[in-house]
Amino acid sequence: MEPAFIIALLKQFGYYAKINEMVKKMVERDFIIIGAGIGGLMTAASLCRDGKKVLILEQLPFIGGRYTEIAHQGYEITSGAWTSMGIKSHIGRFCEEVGAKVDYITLRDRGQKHRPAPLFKVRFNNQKELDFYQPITDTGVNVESFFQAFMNILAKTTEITPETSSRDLVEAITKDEMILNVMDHTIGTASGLNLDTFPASELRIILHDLLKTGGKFGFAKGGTKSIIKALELVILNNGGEIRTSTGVERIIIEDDMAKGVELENGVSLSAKNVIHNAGAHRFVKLVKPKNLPSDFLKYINHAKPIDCAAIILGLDKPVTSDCAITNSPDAERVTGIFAPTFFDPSVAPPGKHMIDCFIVLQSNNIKKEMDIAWNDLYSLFPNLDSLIHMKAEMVFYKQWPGAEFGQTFGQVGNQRLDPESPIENLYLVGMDCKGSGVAGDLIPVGVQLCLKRIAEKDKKIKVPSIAF
Amino acid sequence: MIEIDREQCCGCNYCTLSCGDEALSYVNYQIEVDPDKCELCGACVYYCPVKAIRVLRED
Repeated sequence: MEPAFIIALLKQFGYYAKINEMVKKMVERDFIIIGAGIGGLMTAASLCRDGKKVLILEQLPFIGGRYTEIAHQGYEITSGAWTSMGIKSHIGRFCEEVGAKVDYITLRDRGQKHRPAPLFKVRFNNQKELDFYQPITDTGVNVESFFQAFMNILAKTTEITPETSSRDLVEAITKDEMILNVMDHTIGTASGLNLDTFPASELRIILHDLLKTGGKFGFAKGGTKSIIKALELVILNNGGEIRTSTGVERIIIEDDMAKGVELENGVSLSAKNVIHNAGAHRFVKLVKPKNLPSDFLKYINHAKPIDCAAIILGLDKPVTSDCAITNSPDAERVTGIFAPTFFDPSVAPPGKHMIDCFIVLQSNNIKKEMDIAWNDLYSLFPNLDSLIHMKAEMVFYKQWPGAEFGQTFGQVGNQRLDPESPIENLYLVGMDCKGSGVAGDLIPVGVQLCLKRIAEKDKKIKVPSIAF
Repeated sequence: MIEIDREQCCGCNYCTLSCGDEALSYVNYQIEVDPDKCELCGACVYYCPVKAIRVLRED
């Protein structure tokens, strides 16, 4: 029998609408998640494990967003985020909670017995280096080591208001210029901000998070994409679906409720809930400003972004010594240098080394900014040119900034976007949402809050019980 | 040929990294295409997060 005939027959006897409704219920997804960045994947992994039907849509041909690597000339080059900081980070703990198994190579693995490799070393323009734990002998400061300086900042009981800057907090402990510069560059490396623009409240949180990782600070074996693969496995093993190269045109809103999405190819997909993980500005575009309250729009339109860049180098010989991060207090634009091959040589061709130099941009004149950054690198490593085997420069600004909401005054912790959007059944996760932490490590905080908001309406949802 | 919207381009360089033909390069912080090397596979178009790249076919 022809399908059209069957449909006509069912319609004739009044069954069509009923069957149609049943089929729709059977195939209708509980959640459509826009954006397969780490926030979307973490949310999906948790929901899939609770038996929810989840579809993730990603416009790019790969998943992971800033938390993955692109293979290039035998190197695994980060798409943005360097590392998750290991099993004790927010991301590490969240992954563990949802059953995403990741192998990390840690500072302990790379150190000596009972003595983990240092989290960072400080390198000056005269090429002298100081270790994180090593006493600072020649500056006459009232702290013994950088480790001690970090501890003192955490222990300082001075009252911190939302307006207190990191400079206020650090200067209450020491006025030593070198320590201030190291702290300024630590902030730059972690968040793209500086002593004056980074709130003291946030500084205490990120120092606490960093110190808590201790010897377990680490790098996912094979690169950050191993975290993404582990989350993907949880999603697929629990019935979730991921579609790449699938752009979303708009979020369908009817009666002030999210009903699904319309894809760029014109196909509409319905879902009981939609979760957006593709940035605040994109959210406004997909929902349309007329559907959003003015205070919400105002907050997004006034967002202060982070513009940053990276110089990724493949080298014939290592230039940094045995540590995770090289802090460069004398440098003007380069705040820190991460060495992925220090943890895992497999992310570069055999015998080669890779460094990721993080750059905080101070103007839109990219050429000028990058020239200053290159000068920084030549001052730090005078023989650099003769060692370069691969070079990749990446700039994150304009529509694809380091972060749409930098962790600055008015944009930290609970001041960020709530995962519950102004529209019913429509949620937000990702880098713009509530939470504190070392850059992208704040994302799981918002994901947890999003799951909590969903659980308030659906008792079947389990919220990962991690205290961040 | 490949057309790049320089206003839109943010400089993330995903396109250059993804190009299997090494036809793209990042010269003076602008993406340049070598038409002799480009096979018009379109990988860069898909890798671009801000949709700044288009493939224009001559037919």
